Amino acid sequence: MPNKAYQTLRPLVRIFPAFYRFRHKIKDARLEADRATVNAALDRIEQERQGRAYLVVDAFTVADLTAAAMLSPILQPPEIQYPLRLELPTYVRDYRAALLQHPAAQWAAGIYRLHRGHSAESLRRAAAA
Amino acid sequence: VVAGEAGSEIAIREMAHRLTGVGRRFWVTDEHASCAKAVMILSARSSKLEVNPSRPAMEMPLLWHIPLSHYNEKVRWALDHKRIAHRRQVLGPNYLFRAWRATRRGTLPILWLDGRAIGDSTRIIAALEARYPEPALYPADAAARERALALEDYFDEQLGPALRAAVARRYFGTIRTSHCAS
Repeated sequence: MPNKAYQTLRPLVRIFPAFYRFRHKIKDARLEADRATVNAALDRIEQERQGRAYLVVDAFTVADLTAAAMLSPILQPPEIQYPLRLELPTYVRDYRAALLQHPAAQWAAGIYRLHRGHSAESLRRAAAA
Repeated sequence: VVAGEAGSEIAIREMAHRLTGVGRRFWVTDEHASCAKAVMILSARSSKLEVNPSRPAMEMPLLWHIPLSHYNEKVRWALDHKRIAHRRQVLGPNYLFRAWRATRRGTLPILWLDGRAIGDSTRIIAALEARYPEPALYPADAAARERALALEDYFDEQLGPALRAAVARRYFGTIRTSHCAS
């Protein structure tokens, strides 16, 4: 239930960034290196794909799913089930605009369009017991 | 600690003794005892919480997830792609503790499948592939499967953490309150 999920997250938004950065060992000093790693991964997608529709065989596999899912926070494709309901800071908006220019990001958006489909979540009440 | 013991005066004194490190049981104060009682009740409730998911999971897989996480999105996508009817649950602020209790790893997603907690998105997809083979996410050809799994690992280990670090600075933004009213 997305709304319930957002309600759970809302009180945490003030303290969450500091905790998140600590937990995932995120350092400002490594920002450029991290962005270079993202660009290298996008280049690798294009290199593996070699103009084909999918990464490995002529069908959707776990490799396509993983690549697109890993890009989803920044892609925010319309098919995503839990969109970011944040007023993004300028640095994220600029970074997102730059990434979307990359052919691999456009490919990932296409994978979402073709294969994300609908949720199979049962709406039967969770934690019934 | 079982729920029935939580009210026992002797058990409370014993727990307070253990928690505070007070050398002799008769030095345990009422304040110590109150804290110990709270810990025991929470512990008993927590034990009940961890037991519960295994029962409904026998009927339908249950996903403990974080809505905005890309690793969680990967597992949700696999479940949806295979059209596996499942339930989803967002845990509260104690999610690290509950995740650790379930899988001995403090990470989500965790899928409760056939009464078993599975952590790590790659392991979860492997379990789903074994349990629900169609539609397949792994290529049938062995060499192609190996390549697909190697790419999955590369994106998990390189792209996922780097993208997270490239975006998550000190200020994440503010939640749009208009969408959260209900």
